[in-house]
Amino acid sequence: MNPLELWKDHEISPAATRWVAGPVSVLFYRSGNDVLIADSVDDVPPEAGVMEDFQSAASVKWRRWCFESKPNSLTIHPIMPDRPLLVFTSDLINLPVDAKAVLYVSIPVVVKAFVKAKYLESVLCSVPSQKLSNSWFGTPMEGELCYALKSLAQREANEVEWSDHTAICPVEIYNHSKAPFQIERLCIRPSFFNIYASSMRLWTNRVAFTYRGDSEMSKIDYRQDPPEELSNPVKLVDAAEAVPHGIVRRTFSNLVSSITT
Amino acid sequence: MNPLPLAISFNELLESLGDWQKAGIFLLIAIPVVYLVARLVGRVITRRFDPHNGALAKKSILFVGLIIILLNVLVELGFDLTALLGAAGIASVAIGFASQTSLSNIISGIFLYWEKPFQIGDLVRIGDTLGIVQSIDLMSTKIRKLDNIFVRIPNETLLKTSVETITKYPIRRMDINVGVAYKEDIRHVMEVLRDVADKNPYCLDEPKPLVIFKDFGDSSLNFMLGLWFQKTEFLDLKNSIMQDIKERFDAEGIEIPFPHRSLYSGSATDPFPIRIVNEAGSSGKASPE
Repeated sequence: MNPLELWKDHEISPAATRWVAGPVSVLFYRSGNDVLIADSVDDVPPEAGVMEDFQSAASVKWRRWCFESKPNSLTIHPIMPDRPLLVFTSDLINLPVDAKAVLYVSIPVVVKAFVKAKYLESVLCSVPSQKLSNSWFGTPMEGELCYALKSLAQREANEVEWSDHTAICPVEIYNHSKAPFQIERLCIRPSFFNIYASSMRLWTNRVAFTYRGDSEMSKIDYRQDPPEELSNPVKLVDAAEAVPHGIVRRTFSNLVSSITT
Repeated sequence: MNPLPLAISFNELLESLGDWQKAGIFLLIAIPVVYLVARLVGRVITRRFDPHNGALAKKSILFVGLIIILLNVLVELGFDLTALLGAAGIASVAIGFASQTSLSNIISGIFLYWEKPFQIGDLVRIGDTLGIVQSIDLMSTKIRKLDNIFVRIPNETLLKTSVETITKYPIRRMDINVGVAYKEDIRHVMEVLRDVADKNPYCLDEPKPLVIFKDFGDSSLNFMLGLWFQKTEFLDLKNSIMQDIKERFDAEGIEIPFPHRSLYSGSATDPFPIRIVNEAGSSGKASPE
């Protein structure tokens, strides 16, 4: 489905509407000035559209939001997960000195439904499209709590798993060290990603890592322009955080150095 | 018009007051000022650094301020400080002997501030006491146990005992011992345990879960499952993983055995005699064959 048809403003009518992207369903209707909303994540989600007999559906747990004035539309947008993501590469990738490679990572988005207001938006629900397991990037004494991605980073964009609820992130890696560099997994921080829509898929901006050796932090550059893979990109969502200047962090990790104690 | 009558009258008022009255007024003003300054500095340091340093700064300012106030009051009341300090020197020897424990606690408290084995809010185990640190004072450390019971532990005891700070690091490992029947396939059991850990949302993917075949028990093959988790998710993981293991073992037909005892009637080969009881209640002896 065209992402621009999916991720947009939807009219809130007295008849319940079911919105579906991948496994996530968002159900909503209006009762006077109030908006009633429910969400679910199903392996086989029902079809999108107007629901019949929605009020008698006992399995739906409605949440009521009371507004001063009648809200006309509900905006449904994709947002990035709220923690860094750990992703393994599909193969063990070796980068010679001064070589560059681009990997593609599929990120399951979080579905955010909100009502626009003059100053602040009211977020009615926020549903992760995939339950990601917790992971840790660092030593047992210090590090960062992350999510582990189930999908693998691929060399070709076409090999990446994609659907309505995933965004493709191009990751450029440059080996600026004095020795060949082996990549097994990497840590990306999605809070710095804008989300763009092409005619078929969601994309994020490109992130470029420059590896400078084991003992040194990688230089990270979150590009602010749309990925070059897209011909007519439309920016759907701004990044949750502004990119600080000169961002340098530990990004790569070899399993050999993982702590097993 | 003379601009100073009010000042003069104020000085005259002060002179007209007795020593006790002056000391009283001084106490009324100075104690709240010291208290306010201590509280303000404590709050600023807590915000900029941590609650531990904030509490230390607050108490230090309070104690030093109160001592200065006390000395001032004594001077105001006409005590000779030189003689008083001399007497205090002699008295301190006597008091020192009498209050060895208190002094030991205070010195231990200073070491604790310095060493920082734990901070306010940490979950600690001190001897048999498991609880959350509420405050670290000069004489004692206050702990709130998990069943909401207040415990005061003298600092001297803390310095002498080993203290486990459970929430020192951001992640922890939970070790779970699991026993299965001797008939089970060891490799299959280890795979199942790994899979159970992979599927539990509270268990960290990295560092990887540990599955160890520990030993041959009396009635079971014993395994250890070591799971890493975020320190705040102990209860979530504990409850869910136990349930996951039981459900998965049931689904896979893996038996969790109860302790077995083999009884012999004096000889390893002779069978037990069996008595058969019928519905009418009459009984008869039968041979095992």
